[in-house]
Amino acid sequence: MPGVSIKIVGYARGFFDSPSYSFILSEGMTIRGLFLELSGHAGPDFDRAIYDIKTDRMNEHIAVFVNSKEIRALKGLDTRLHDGDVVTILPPMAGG
Amino acid sequence: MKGICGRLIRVNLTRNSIDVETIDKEVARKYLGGKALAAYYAIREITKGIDPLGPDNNLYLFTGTLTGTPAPLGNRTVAATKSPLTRTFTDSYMGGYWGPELKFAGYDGIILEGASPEPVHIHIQDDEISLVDAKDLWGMDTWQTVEAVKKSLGTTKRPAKVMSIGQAGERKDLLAAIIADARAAARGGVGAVMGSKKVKAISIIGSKRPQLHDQKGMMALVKAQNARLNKNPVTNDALRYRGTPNILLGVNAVGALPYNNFSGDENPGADQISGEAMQKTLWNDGKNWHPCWNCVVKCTHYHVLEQPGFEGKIDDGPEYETVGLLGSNCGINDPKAIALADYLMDGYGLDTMSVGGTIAFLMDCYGRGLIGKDMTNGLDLKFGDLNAWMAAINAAGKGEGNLGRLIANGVVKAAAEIGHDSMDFAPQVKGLVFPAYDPRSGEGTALSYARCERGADHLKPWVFHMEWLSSTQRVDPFTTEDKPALIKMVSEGSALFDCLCVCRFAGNELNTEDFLALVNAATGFNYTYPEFWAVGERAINLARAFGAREGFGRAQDVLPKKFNTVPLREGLAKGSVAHVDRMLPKYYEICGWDDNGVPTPEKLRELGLGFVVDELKEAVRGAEAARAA
Repeated sequence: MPGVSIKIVGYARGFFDSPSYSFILSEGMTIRGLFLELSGHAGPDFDRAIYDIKTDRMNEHIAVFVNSKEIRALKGLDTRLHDGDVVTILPPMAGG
Repeated sequence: MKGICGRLIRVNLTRNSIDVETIDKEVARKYLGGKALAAYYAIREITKGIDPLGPDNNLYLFTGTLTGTPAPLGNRTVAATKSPLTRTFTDSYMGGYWGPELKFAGYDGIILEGASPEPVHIHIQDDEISLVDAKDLWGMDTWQTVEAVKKSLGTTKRPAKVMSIGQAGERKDLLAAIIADARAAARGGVGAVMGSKKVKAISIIGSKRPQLHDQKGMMALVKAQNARLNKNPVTNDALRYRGTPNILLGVNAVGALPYNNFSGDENPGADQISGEAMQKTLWNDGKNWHPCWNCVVKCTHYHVLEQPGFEGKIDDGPEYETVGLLGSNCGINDPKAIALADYLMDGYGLDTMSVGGTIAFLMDCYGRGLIGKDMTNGLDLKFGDLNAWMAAINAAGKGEGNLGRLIANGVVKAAAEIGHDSMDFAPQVKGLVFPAYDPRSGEGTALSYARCERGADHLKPWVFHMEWLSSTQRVDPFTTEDKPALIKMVSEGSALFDCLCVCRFAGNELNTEDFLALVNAATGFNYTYPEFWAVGERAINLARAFGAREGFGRAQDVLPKKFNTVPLREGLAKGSVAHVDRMLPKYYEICGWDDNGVPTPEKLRELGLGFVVDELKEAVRGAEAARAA
């Protein structure tokens, strides 16, 4: 089905009411627009943990991929989404 | 000297002699400690071509410049030697308390040479060093050994810190580890070398502290740096509550978590063995901390075992690499079973990573019909079969049957015996099993594994993090042009950590400038940044030269065929394979190595390693002859 799929990984799931979502793509939708959609599914820590709507800033420690590209290598919050895209959100991680 | 003690203990097990020798100040300044210092001693003292399990090999148990000082996370010890598994220089590290205690007793390291005819236990209490008969300890696992050693010492002012080998080391199994404080210096068979010398245990009680050049300045640095570590979301949250497996679901989302012998598929049951799951099911909401000495991060958690026969026993971990390789890669997604396996491996004294990689490889061979039940001790050795898997682990630990022998000696020996095309899908470089990140997921990871002097390694350097997990140090995983320079730079920085013997997790917040400031405050060496950085490069060139002298070169800097030809099937990196050949020539060139990957005389002299040049002439001539032929 056309649209955008969202996959929330690991600890970041705790900020949302579901580990995955699908949205019908609206015209010109960007990561910023997607975050605004997602905020409706998120708990009170969303602004701090993912994206602060008031300041238009993403948490510098999370990684957000559109398919296999991290959005900092694209156009950040202005990255345009397309039908069939998969957006993956990773929380801060390190170890090994 | 300040920061370091300037003294080493040399034990000759053949002659039954113990000597304390000083470290020349210029040597200390040039090599710092840990990796570089051990490599300096190893290349001078270990003769080319010797049997790694014979009396001519030496085992270097060294601390780093910052071990046992107030520096954040300065608690590690290196076990370095000529590896019986890979036949290269190997340096395996452990955290915990043993290394700091050695510093407190007044020594930077211990050199074991020769071989004892009978089992011995070495006991160090400040200036008193003794060799004690250990026939009664031989045959014990590491848990029993620690208990027996402490009992034999009676009441002491401080509890002794005990390093030991288990039954695997006694048998000289190639995957044998050295264990202390439930931490393992595991990779490369360092436990087999300790076993070949018949050294069962080394216990230490120290009553001093390393003197510091600038105590006040150092403490100010430490306070500020610990405050930063306590604010970083990785060190104060991800690692602190979800341990090293906090990354597991991220690695799985990439498609890089090993599952069913690096099948290239995501593990559909990964949620059960994630850091999030361990936090709840094993670690008392992530608060069962058992930190290493002087660590504010506290990534290690303990779990109280519940299985019949093991009720109340404590397992530290399991860590990500164990979960990934001993669990997921064998198709096992039961966290409590993995914790028990981890406890057993620590007791037998085996490398959980290599054992996991080898069991999974044998499961794959069994599934393909390349081995039958005659090689599996009669087990139906299938991926995900919990009973067969646990039986295989115990067979390895006890050295039972064909299966035990195959597992405990690693994947290359197993593949050589099995034949067919099994070497093509045996996940290893130079005989060392891959860490728990599929190298098809990123060109940096692939190059890092292939060119590493001791075989596939997740810490020399750990670029998977930069390719996929980090938001602040990000590189494109799919490009090859930038990776040679990246790997050179990051591997030298990583080697510096290994000279200081500081835990890598400090690097989530602290940088090399921070460590330069700490080292100068501790030692008074007053390094400039380029001088300091050069120690890391020196360490890598020494280790590389050690391997080159043994005949290692480009032919060994390769990944098995599967990883160059069969793409990952799922995850963010789906469809990718590794392209090491595209990157090696450039990598060698910028390292100052010849086209066979051997350090050139010019590079060695530039690094102040001119004494190695003659050692390598034969290696260079051999490579030239091979090319001419």
